[in-house]
Amino acid sequence: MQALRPRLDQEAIGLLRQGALFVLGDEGAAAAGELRRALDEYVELVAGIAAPAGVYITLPLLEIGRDGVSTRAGFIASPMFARFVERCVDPRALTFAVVTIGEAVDSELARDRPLFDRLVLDAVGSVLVEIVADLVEDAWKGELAARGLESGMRVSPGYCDWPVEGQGVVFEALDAGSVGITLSSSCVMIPLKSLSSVTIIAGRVPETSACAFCARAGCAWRRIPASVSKDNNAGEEGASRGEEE
Amino acid sequence: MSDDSVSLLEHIRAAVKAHEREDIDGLTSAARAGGASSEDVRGALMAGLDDVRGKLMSNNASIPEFLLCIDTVTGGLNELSSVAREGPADGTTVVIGVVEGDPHDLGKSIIAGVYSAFGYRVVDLGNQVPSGQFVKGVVENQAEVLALSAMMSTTMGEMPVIVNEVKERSPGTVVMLGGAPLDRELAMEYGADGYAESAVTVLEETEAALKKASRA
Repeated sequence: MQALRPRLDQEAIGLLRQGALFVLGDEGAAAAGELRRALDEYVELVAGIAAPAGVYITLPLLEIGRDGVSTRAGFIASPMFARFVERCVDPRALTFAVVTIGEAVDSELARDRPLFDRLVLDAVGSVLVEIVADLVEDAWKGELAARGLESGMRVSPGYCDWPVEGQGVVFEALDAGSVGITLSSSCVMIPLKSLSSVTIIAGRVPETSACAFCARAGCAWRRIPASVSKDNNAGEEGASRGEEE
Repeated sequence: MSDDSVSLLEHIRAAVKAHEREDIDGLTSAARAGGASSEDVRGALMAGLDDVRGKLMSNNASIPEFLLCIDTVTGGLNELSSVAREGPADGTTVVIGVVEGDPHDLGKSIIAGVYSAFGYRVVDLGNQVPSGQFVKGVVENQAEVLALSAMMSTTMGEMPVIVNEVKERSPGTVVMLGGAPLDRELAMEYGADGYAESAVTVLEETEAALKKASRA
C-alpha cells in the first residue's frame, strides 16, 4: 500500500480553474463576470488550504462473475464493471484508491455564504478532488507501460450499478485512515471532498470506460457517447444515478 | 405611491434580473423612503426573480445566474427587514432538512433559498436531522410544507418513516421529497405529496401539491 501527498503546482491550479468553469458552465453567460471573480477567490482559497492526500493498493483479480468481480478485499457488485473487465485481455489486478483534499475545505463549505458563492466553492472542491485522484493515478500508472500493461478508467461505489455500500470493499482493501479518511455507517466519506475508486489492470483494455456497456444516454456521468455502447440492453436494469461525493 | 416609487420598484425588478447584489440595498431603502410599502418592494423583488426563473425553465439562464438572483433578493429582503423593522413575509411555512446520516447541505440550502426568496417562511433544520426533529419542527411551526432531502441511497430509507410520522401527527402537512437517488415514482411510494427534481421545478411542484391538498 502506498500513501501519497501530491503537491498542487501551477499546472494543477490552472486545471482546477478550467475544470470548475466547465462544471459551472457559465463562461459566456450573463453571470460570467461574477463567475470569474468567484473562481479567482475560491480557487486561491481552496488551493491554499487543501491538504491533498491519497492511498492506493493493487490486489489480484480472483474471479469474474456475472454480477461482479471478486478480490481478496471483497466482491465488487457491479454487473457492468464485470462485463467491462471480461472484455479486457488478460485482466490481472485491481487498483483500489482513496483520495481527499482534507478537512479544511469541508470547514469552508460549512460556512454561511451567499448561495452563488457556495455553489462555486463546492464545484472547486469537487474538481480538485478529481485532480488529486488523477495525480495519485499518475503515480502508479507510470510503471504500467514498462510492464506491458494497460489500465481502464476508475469506477466508484455509488455510481452506475455499483451500490454505494461498495465503499466497504474499498475501505477493506486499504487503510484510508492513514490519509485521514473515514467512512460513516451510511457510507459517507469524511472529509466530504474525498473520492474512492477501483481501476482494472490488464494486458489490454479495449474499452475506455464501463459506460460502453450502459445505454443510459442521458446520464450526467456518462464518459463516452451512448452511440458506442456495446449492448443497448445493458445497464438499464438496476442502474442508479450517481450519489453525492 | 409616487412616480418615483414606481420607477424605483421597476429598478428593483431590473436589479434582481441583472443580479446587482451591491445595488439592491440602496434601491430597497429608497423605495421604502419614497412611500412604497414592504408588500410593493417584496412584489418587485419576486417579480424580478420570477422573470429569471422563467428564463431558467426555458434554458435561457443558468443555475449560477439564478442563484445570483436569489442572493440579490435575499439581500433586498434583509434590507427590507432592517428598514421596516419587520419579520419575514407571513407566507406559507416550510420546514426543510436533510435526513439523518446525510451531511450533504448545498442542495437543501439552494431549495431553502428558493422558497425563502419566493416568500415562504423557511425553518431550516440543517443536515443529518433525526426523524423526531422533523416531526417536532413541523408541529411546533404548524408547517404547511415539509421538504425532505437525501443524497444517498443509504440514507433515503429514512424518508418513508419520517413521512409516516409527520402524516400521523400533522395530517394536513404537504410533504415534498428530493435528492439525487430519488425519482417521482419512489417519492410517491414513500407517501410524499410531491417530488422536486431540482431548484428549477421545486416551486411549481410545491404549489401543485399544496393546491391538490387544499382540494382534498
